[in-house]
Amino acid sequence: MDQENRVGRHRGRPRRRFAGFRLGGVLLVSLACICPALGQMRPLAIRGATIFTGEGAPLENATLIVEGGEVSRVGVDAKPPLLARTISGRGKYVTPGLIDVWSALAADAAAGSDPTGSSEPTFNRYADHEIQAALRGGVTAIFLPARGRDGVAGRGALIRLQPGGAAADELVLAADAVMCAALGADPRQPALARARSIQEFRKLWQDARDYREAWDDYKDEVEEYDKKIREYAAKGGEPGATSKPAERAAPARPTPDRDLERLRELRRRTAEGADAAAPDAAEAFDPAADESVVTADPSEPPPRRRPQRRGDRDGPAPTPQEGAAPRPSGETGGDPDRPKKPKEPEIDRRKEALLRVLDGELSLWVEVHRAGDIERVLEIAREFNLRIALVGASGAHYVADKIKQAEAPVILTPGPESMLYTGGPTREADPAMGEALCRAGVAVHFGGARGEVSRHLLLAAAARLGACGSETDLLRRLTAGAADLLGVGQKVGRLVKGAHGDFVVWSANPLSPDAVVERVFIGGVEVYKAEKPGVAAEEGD
Amino acid sequence: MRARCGSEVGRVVAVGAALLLISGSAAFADGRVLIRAGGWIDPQGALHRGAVLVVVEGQRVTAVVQDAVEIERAVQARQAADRLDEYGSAVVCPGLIDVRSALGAVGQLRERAAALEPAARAVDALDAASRHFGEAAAAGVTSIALVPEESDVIGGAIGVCRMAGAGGAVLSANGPLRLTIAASTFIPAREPTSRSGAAEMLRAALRAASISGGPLADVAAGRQSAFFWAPSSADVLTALTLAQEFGGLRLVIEHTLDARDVAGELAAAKVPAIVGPFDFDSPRRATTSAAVLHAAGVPVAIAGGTPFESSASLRVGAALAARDGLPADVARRAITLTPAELLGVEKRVGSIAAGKDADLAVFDDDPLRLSAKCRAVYVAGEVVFREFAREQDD
Repeated sequence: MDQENRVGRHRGRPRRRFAGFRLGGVLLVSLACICPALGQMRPLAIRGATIFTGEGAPLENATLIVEGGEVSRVGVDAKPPLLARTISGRGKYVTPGLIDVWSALAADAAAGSDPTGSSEPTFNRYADHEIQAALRGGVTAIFLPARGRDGVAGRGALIRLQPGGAAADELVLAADAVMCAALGADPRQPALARARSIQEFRKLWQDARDYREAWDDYKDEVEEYDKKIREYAAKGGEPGATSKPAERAAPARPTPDRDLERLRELRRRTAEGADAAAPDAAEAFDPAADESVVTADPSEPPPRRRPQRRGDRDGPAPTPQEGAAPRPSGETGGDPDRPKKPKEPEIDRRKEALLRVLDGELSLWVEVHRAGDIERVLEIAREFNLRIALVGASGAHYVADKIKQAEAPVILTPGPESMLYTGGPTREADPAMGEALCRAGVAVHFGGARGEVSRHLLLAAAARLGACGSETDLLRRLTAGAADLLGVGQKVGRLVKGAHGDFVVWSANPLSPDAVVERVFIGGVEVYKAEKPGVAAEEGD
Repeated sequence: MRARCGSEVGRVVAVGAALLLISGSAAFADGRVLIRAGGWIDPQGALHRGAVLVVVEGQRVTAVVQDAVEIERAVQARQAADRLDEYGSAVVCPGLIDVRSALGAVGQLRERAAALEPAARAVDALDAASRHFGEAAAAGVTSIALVPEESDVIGGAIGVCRMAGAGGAVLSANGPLRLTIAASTFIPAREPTSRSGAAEMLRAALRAASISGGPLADVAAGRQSAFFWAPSSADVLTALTLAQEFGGLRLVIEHTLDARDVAGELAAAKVPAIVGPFDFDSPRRATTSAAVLHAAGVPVAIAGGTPFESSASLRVGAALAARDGLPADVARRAITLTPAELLGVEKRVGSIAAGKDADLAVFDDDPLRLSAKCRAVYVAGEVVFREFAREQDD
């Protein structure tokens, strides 16, 4: 017993000690887990720096405070909160992170040339090497366009270059703002193929418009059919054809949300609504049955013509059959008087995607070169009332006034790489193009186009757009201007209250010849730091 | 200095008055050009902000005046025949020099049959009327080195050409020789076919030259330098070995992405290097090489590579090198005076100093700021490009 006790005690003590270790270990591990999180939560202050907020003149000797990943205060009199991590900004220059609005950085695969697709999945968030190179150039976000063959290639996405695993909704901004297209951007393309692809490009929008009109017509036909079937029922045609108005809500082609699932749902409801009114519910899903009805009812009201516009339909359009139709007499089945269910148009995902552009919900960025092609694209944009931006646009200086008139922004890419004649899309490239466009009053932006250029985005932009305005103006174009173009001007591109804490600390005015990026923050977290302040890394990549 | 200025003015007055009697336009042509700007770049590449007056007489710069009072006095004292070119706050820079170019080359710079062409001259392939000269001038480039291609062990003499209006003046037809033993010389149906074979051809030619004379003899004796195309660090080391063997060889290492790895050896052998051209998407290893070589003590020039690269490539290259650690003044020198030295034309071009040719480029700001536009370009005192002319065209 005693022995047992002793044994028990003997056994118990180390166990307790072990438990203590374990507890300590758990505490350590949990602390280790929490610390970075705490670090992120800890407010951050950059004091005494020259701060360019994205707008107006830079603030001298100002302080930037970031709390919870967002800018909370910026100004000369901003006081850092208690416990804030404070970084001296004396002699430094702080800007919002630069945004490359047309990049190929860390793009793993070409997006398929499909308007329903998006470039977002082609971004390789683990391409640390490329991402670090861009951060070193002060770029914190890139717009990754969908690039494919000629035609509409899909939606692009603005991606914040946060290394590691941030939540996708923080990484990807403006995934649903821009549809990308290309025309004649392939240097190997023969001239005739270019002409044809522009024709096809126009047809794409014409088809999408026709598709919408077919749906609009269908909606009207269903309403009319509903009305008629109710009258038919009231006259004793069908006992089951009582109206259920809620179910027969207007079967419009779903304009605001064109998600495919929702489309299917609506399509189903459309069919059900019609079925509820129709006597033969079983037939409803069977297109063959629909066909048979068509053949069985030659006395149907003629289908509405497609060109009939909304304006006409809103007017009092008396249905011709109302008075003329003989009263139903209660027969079933092949009653020639029973109104015919209208035929539903096919749902087309691609056209749905294009309709978002036609409706002005997405803007359309077209990579196009040569003045003649640019003119054609502007004409198509006017015809279909598209919100467009031109990308690359070599030769745009010849038609600068037309671009200005169309209020189309131009996203320039790095200038001609060679003085030699090229027969490709850059044939009309001109080093002074940016200046000519700016002078004409066109809104000009800049994208690196090749992924590696992001590292020197500021220099490349200075070379291309330098003559457009002051250095501050250039910085604005690459920050607030770029963010506004993508419709996210309140979240990135500016250092204002509520914006993401995405900013860059430069060793000097970013445009001075020896300026170096010293630190980069995304969401208030330091994602890049130069080895030695004021000195670029010694070793190469 | 002032006394000399005074006497010069006196002379100009006398000459001007005499010529005015004959023809007004002739008198104008003989007057001085006073270039007033808001900053200048000195021979070492340093940028000095503040009023500056560059006095050009005929083809040469005769004075650079930095003192505001003296500038005012000189401007006031100018004669009717003199012309005052005002550039406000712009910066006067020596005309840029592209140390490796094929600008204006016609026919072939690439010899495929003979591997040893010591007597060939690149300037014989020059089309002085090429439109590229005007384009390059508009970007501030005033001189280029027309370099034979690296297809031969001895490629011939580099020519130094100038953007003199339509003239395309040749500054030096017998510049440094182009040498290499790299794989680019291995062309089917001719020798050499191996690296050691190429090295042996070069050795034999150098030994023979000291007897037969000609351009190669000048190189062997160190009276002329040679550009050695060395794409890899192994090529650099072979070049250094050859230089050691033939005591007097003055080599310049050219086009090497790996020179940074042998920077210490280059510095010890006092051999300069040419890097570039660089573009915005050049790898960081390339753009930092200028800084690494400079830090090791190697004189560095940055090539532009026109016309294969854009006319802005010299400034782009220098700006990228400066971003990646090369001091700004060294970067400016690397596209002006350093190339002139390597080409042996430093007594005439590459810097702004009294007695040198008036090859000047006026930029809105520091040429390393790529947003700065080129306002005007002078070659041998003559305006070959002026920015407002372009605006009038539009």
